[in-house]
Order: sequence, then C-alpha cells, then structure tokens
Amino acid sequence: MIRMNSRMLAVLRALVGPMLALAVLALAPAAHAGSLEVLLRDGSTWRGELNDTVEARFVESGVELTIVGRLVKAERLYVQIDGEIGGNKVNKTIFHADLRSLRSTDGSAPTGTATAPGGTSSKPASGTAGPGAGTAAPGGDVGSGPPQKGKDGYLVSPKKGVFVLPLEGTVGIGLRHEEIEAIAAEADKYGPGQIIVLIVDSPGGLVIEGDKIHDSFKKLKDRHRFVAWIKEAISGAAFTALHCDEIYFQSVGTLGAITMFSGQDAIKGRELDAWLDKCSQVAEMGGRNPIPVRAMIHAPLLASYDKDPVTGKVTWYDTMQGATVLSNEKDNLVFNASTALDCHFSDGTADTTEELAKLLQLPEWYEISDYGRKLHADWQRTVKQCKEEVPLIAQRLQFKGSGSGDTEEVLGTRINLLKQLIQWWQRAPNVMRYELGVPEKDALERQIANLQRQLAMARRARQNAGN
Amino acid sequence: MRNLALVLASASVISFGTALAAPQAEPAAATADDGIPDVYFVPMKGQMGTDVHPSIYKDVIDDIRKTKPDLVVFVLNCADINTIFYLQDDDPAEASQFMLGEYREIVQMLHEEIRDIPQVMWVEDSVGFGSLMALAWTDMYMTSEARLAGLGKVLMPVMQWRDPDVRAKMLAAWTGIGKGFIEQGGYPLDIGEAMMRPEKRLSCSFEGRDVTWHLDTTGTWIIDDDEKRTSQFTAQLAEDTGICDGIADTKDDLMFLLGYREYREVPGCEATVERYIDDWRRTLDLCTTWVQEYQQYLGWAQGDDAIKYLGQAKERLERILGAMIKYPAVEIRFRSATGADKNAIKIQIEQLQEQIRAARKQQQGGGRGGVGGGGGLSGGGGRRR
Repeated sequence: MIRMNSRMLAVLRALVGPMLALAVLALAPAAHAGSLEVLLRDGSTWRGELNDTVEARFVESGVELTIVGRLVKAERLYVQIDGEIGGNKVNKTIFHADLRSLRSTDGSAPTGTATAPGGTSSKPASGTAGPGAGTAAPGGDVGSGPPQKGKDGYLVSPKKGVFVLPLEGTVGIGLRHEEIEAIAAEADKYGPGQIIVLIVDSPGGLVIEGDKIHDSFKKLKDRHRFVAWIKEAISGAAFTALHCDEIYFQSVGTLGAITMFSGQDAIKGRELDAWLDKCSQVAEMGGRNPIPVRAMIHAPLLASYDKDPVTGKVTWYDTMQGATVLSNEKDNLVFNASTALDCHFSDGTADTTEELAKLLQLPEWYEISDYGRKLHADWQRTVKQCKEEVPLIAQRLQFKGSGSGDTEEVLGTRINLLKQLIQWWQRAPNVMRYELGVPEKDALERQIANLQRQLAMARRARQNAGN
Repeated sequence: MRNLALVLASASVISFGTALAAPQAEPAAATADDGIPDVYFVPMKGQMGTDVHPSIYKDVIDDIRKTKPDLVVFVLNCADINTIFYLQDDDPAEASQFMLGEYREIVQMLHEEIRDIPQVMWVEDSVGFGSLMALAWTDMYMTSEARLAGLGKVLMPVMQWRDPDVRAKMLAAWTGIGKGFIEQGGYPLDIGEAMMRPEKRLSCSFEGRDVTWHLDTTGTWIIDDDEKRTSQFTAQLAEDTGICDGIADTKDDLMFLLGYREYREVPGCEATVERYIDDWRRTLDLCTTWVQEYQQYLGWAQGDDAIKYLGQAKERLERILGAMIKYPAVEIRFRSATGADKNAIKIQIEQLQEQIRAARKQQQGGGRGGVGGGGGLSGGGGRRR
C-alpha cells in the first residue's frame, strides 16, 4: 500500500480516478440482462451471474490472496464470495479496490472449496445421528404444530435440528451439571442420537463441579451427540468442552489453561499427576490426543505437531520436535480458533448459527426446542438476582428496622431477612456457598431460633411492663 | 476532497431534499439508488469501557439497520496516553478499563448483527485496549499520526499471582482472550502475542508480497528487539508490514483509498455516539455535584432540621443511583473514584431512611412523652398495645 497524503491524492485522483469510477459502475448489477459485469482494474471485464463459482485474487493487509467459491453478491462497492481461503471456510467481502482478478471456474470447484447447495463441508462426518433418526413414523407428517409422538413413542421433530444450551459464567455457579443433565433429559424425549450444542462462555471455576460434570457426561455421552461451540472456555470450562464429541470455535473463541490451583498455588506432586491423568482420559473420551491437553495444565509440559501436507494427518509430540510448536516449557497452552483448527483440535470455526449448521451438516439451523435457552436464561437470572440481592440482605441485617427504635420490630426484621437468605440457599446454594460465602443454612436457622427466643422474651417483657 | 464531492452535490441535494419533503418516510436519502455509496461513520472514541461500551452500540446497530448504508466505517480514537510524553499529564481516570468481555461483545455484535454490510476500521489513534478493537477488523486503515500500542495492559491481572504455573495459566488465558480479537480480524496471532507480552520480540520477513512473522529477531526486519516492552506500531510501520491497508488522514482520503471518488456520509450518523458521550459525561459531572450536596446536607442534618436535610441527602443519592442505572459508564467511573457501586448507594439510601425514621420517632416520642408521660420508645410500645 502507498501512504496517501493530500498532495499525492490529488495526483493519484487524476491518474486513476476514471478507472475507479468505471469500476464502481461496473460492479453494480446489470439492470437489464439479469447477469453481472465487473470491470477490473486491468481493464478486463468479468461477466457472469450470481452463484457462479469464481476464483478471485485480492489484496489483504498487503498480501495477495486467492479465494475460490460462490459469488453471492456483487454490489457497487464490493463483491462477496462464499468459499475457502487457506482451508478455512469464509464468507469474504472484497472491496473492488482490493480486487485484482476475477474469473469463472468450470463449476466443479476444487475439492471442499465451494459451499454451493449440495457442496461438501470440510467437517468430517463423525457419527452423525440426525435428530429423530429412526424415531419418526415413516412418512409421518409432523407439521409445524406441537411435536407428536412417533411409533416408537418418542417425540418427532418437524425438522432436523439441534438442542441448544448456553453455558455461561463460573463453573459451578453459572455453568452447572444440572443444566447439562436437564437438556439431555429434554433431548431424551426425542429419542437417542440428538445433537446437543453447548455454547460455552466461561472463565472456569470450581473443581468440585468439574467432577460432577465429568460424571454427567459419562452417563449422557452414549445417548446423544454433544457439540461444544466455544466463545470462551478457560480452565474448568475447557475441561467441560473437552468431553464433547465435537468442538467448534467462534472466531474470537479461546480454550485452554486448565491448571488447577488452590489459593495462590498450583497443585503439585500426586495431585497434579492425578489431574493430568483425568484430563487425558477426558481428552480421549472426546476423541482427542491428550498431549495438547496436558500442556494446558502444567507449563513445563510440551506440545508440538507435524501435519502431513497431503493427507492433513496430524502427529503429536510431547517434545519440541514437531514443525509447529504449540507450547514450550514456559507457556501454558490456550487455543485460538485458527491454532485449534490447524491441528484438528477443533472441527471448524463458525460465527453464526447458520455457519454452525453447515459444519454440523444440517440443511439449516433449527432448534427443536427452546428448553435449553429458557433453562439458561432462568438460571442466569437467578444467579444475577442472588449476587445482587444477598449482599444487600447481609448489609440490611446491620441496620434494617433500627429506625423504629422498637426492639421487637428490629428482631422481627432480622428474622425476616435471615429467612430470605435461607430462601436463597434453597434457590442457589452454590452461589451462596462459593461465590458469596454466606453462612450455611443450618447456621442461619440456629440464628433465627435464637432471635425468635429473644423476640419472645422482649414480648414477654413488654407484656409484663404493661401489667 | 470536499471539492471533489461537489461533483456529486446536485445528486446529494436532490436526494436529501426528497427525504426532507417526506418527513415520515424512511431515511431514504441515505440509501438513494443513485450510484453514490452511502457511508455510515461510527465514532469509537474516548475511554474504552465507558465512552466505548456495549450499551450504545446496540443503538448504533439499530440506526445502521434503519439507514441501510453501503459501508460502515468505525473511527477509532482511544489512547490512554497522549503524544506529549514529557508532560505526563494523562488522566489515569480516563485510561481504558479492563473489560475484555464487553469489548468482545461489541466486536461480535457489530460483526454479526450487520454482517451483510461491509465494515472498515479506521484508526485515528489507539493506545490501550482500543488496539484490540482496531485489530478485530480485517480492513483496517490508519491516520498518519495514529499509533497501535498499549496492549501490555492485557497482562494486568497476571502479575498478582506468585506461583509460576498459575501465572503461566493466567497469562495464557488472558493473552488467549486478547488474541481472539486478532483472530477475528484475521491478523497473524504472533503480532498479538508480541503486542501483549513484553518478553516477546518481533521481526518479519518478506517473500514476494507475503509477510512471515517471527517472535524473535530472526526476520529481516526487526520490529521489536526489546524484551522489556511490548511491540507497537506507528501508522507507517503498520502499513509497511501490511497490518494496515493504508494511511488516510481524512474521510475523503479514506474513501479514495477504498476506491470511491464519491461517497455520501449518512446524515447524523455520528450523533448517536456523540450524544451518548455528552450525556453520560454531563451526568457524571452532575453526580460529583450531587455527592458534594449530599455531604453538605448530611453535615446540616442536626436538630430541628435533621429530617429535612436527611431527606435532601437521600434524594441526592437517589439521583446518583438513577444515573448509575441509566448509564453503566457513570457507575464504572463513580466506583473508580469513590469505591461505591449501585449496591453501596442503595444501602446508603436505606440507612438514611432508617435515620429519618428514627429522627421522626424521636420528635414524635418527645411530644407524646410530654403529654402521656411516656418516653420515646416506650411511648411507641404503649400505642401498639
């Protein structure tokens, strides 16, 4: 790129202005013929139609790149191509200033590059069990109304689709095994082999919850196909995602750093060995090599890999001998979307549900039930309310009712506040225990009993004073 | 460049005139099908975390959807430190806030919700977390004086950990999250690594037009050979190494670089953000006044006037609470300055209510005490019976 200042601009405008003006006009869809003409910078013209398979060369960040794919848009300012760059599926907007060449290919685009209807996906088929597979009554018309039961007694979804459960917040607080089990139970109604998409956005959390999540997945994984869609999966959240059959990243996604620590210090010795073993086992449960997972736990552990240029097969090393080093002896491993994709740790990158549907080899994105999203919203609301309300209640215990100057009212108010805390213990015990550090329920009950005794004494004293 | 735009003046005037003549119509002027691209400029300026906050970009997206421009340009100007180093007059209260989750929300929201409209990032200056935003867009331009720096801040939470394994975990986690932005923009992750981690050096090599980055000094062009500071880029360096797509000092320059001799700025496109920034900052100033008044009223709340002034002090706190609820930015800055968040204010309000109640009781009790012979509290008890 050339640095532009105003004087240079004036010169350049004079030189290239007419050409650019032509390009602007030419990129507009031809109004009459129903076909498109794009006049390129070198003076040549590309003619074709939307959905044609094209090869475009363009400049990005000073580098010339090539994309092969389906032309989905040709506007005044840009063309948009749905295709593949460097093995990654993209929907690329190319400004005409960056466009160097555009040509039609013969329609049979290079393998795996086109996402035209019926085209192939880069995602390998992995034991796909479509929703409702084998459960619908043959030829049964389920329509768009409430789901009906098939001959086998399972509910039948009107379309192929997924169950979605967002997993958000601290592991053990916002992200819990209870919701994972609940969404699986909902999916059970539609028979085995459902696709359950867990949208993970969590910085990690409680080890104790990790154990429960592990136990839940051991029970559930042979019933359904679990898919993790990663926005943020750090620490315990990465541990959760590793259980899934497939992992997809969002572009901003990140996964790793599973080091277990208590207080200020990381676990060491036998405890560390046990954790390494457990995570390795989880990695294998999800069909992944444990080497990168171990490098996420203890910084000195190494991870590198070689990738066969022809087959794409990845060979892992727990040394630095691989051509691509993911983690040296100083660093803990955290994956981003591209690093995870390159070594096949992730199965693809998707930023929208439609993109994810393609990667899951679904004809479209269809959520069979909103149960998981409601479950998530309800629980997140509860957690938020609890975090806001309980500290207020705790502070109110110090002063609420004191303005009355009435001992009985003060005691009654405190009893009510403690009862509110007990109600929160019933609704959100983990938030109370781990996040807020509120005294246990039985301690609060003892306190209530004590206050009730004081209240009774105060009443008696008042009655006696009245007599 | 404005002179150049005169070429289109007639077309612009005509289409704007049409829109003005039909006040109830959609802002069709911005989408007039006259071949002139409509460009929506979105300011991202001021303090990251307050001026740049997810709450306002939801409104921006709504407006973009309404006006349907051909192109959206985000104009980034978020620098924690100015360019006059020796003055050291940067206000620490205005430094970018550590809110990576919120920034990621903005990036995803803008990328996904208006994904059908091409988007360009134009950096006027960026030192601090703003650089994550800059690198989250593939098409990125800079002004000639722009900087792309200050990402060492991402490691702020890492240093509180002593254990080397935990520190490595935290470092990997935070830089991983930071690199998520860079991944979104399609830039090499090594650049992000070097911009966030001081000990990483950075160099690059060229093979034809391809740039290869190295986290050491083995490349032919050494960008950063200092292991005590993070890598940073001037506009020129960013352009020379292919990080930015070009240098443009004015909107017209930018549009020219993008290949458009002519364009039309969507009328009022910057107003949503500008108004928001003005409003929350004015409200924050008011909060400072209200705090002073609150303290003054508390000081006066004695004797016969106690209830009156306690009531006024409470009312000032209610105003502050209202401001915090309306503008998360106000709460962020108020908390930074005073340590008090919404909940702390709520509690203070409730405590004042109790004080007012006690003062009333005292006044009433004193009166009754004279009549009925009972004293304050016991008088109350007597009435109950």
